[in-house]
Amino acid sequence: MIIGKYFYVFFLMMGSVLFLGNSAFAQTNLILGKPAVANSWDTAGVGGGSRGMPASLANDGDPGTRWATNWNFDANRDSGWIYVDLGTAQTIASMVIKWETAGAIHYVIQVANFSDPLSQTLLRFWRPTRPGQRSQKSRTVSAMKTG
Amino acid sequence: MINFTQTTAKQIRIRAFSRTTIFGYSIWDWQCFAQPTVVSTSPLVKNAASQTKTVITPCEIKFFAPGISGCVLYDVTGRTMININQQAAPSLTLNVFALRGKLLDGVAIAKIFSKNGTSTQRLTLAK
Repeated sequence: MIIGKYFYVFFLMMGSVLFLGNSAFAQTNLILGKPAVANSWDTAGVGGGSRGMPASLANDGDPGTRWATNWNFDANRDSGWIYVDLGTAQTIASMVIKWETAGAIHYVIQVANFSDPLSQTLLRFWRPTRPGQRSQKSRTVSAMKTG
Repeated sequence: MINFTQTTAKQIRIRAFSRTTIFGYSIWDWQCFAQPTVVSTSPLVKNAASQTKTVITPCEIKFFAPGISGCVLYDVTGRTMININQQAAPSLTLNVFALRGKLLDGVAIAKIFSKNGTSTQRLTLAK
């Protein structure tokens, strides 16, 4: 009887674990592991271990590794970009960016297609830099050159 | 989460112009998602016999019933997989993005609570 009781508790716990596991509803990350290119990367950084911090660490699915620009050597430290090539044109509706402390105050999200040499700017962001200041987001359709 | 109008793209880029620190830019994690497909069920009838519907995952399933206030999704053994409660509304949306692999035979039973009573919907989650 006692063994049966323990089995019952065990199964209850297993059920709880499975239930919690299902509550995440992870969507498919369209850019997971896809080729990533950046204008700069830190070749000796800590965040990527001995590999440095190349662009591929931003979308490798590991939240413990990161991409970083090579700020110490960049001529223009304000200019930074990273893009991912999906391989084929795909429909994107949302994204999550987890910036490190070294993040961007002002940045844009741009997209490009096969035949489109220009990158269309979807959204512009200004993050607050002072207490009480509100972040801003605007939708623009200005075209900017890639590269 | 940054949401925007669905956009078709082969490449997607973040371009930064000013920094939060004296250092450059760094990103721990970057993810992009498609809009989930929404599958609508036919209006649920009060205490109707269980209906079977096949849905292709990943997707969202939208249940329609007057004053729908909750949904419990069970696997075939009766184990609760999802339990949603909401203010009574004309519809309820269920996310089944990552559920299929965890269900025996990809089958689930959804029990819907609405103003008119309880209905059940048997779901086959296909890939």
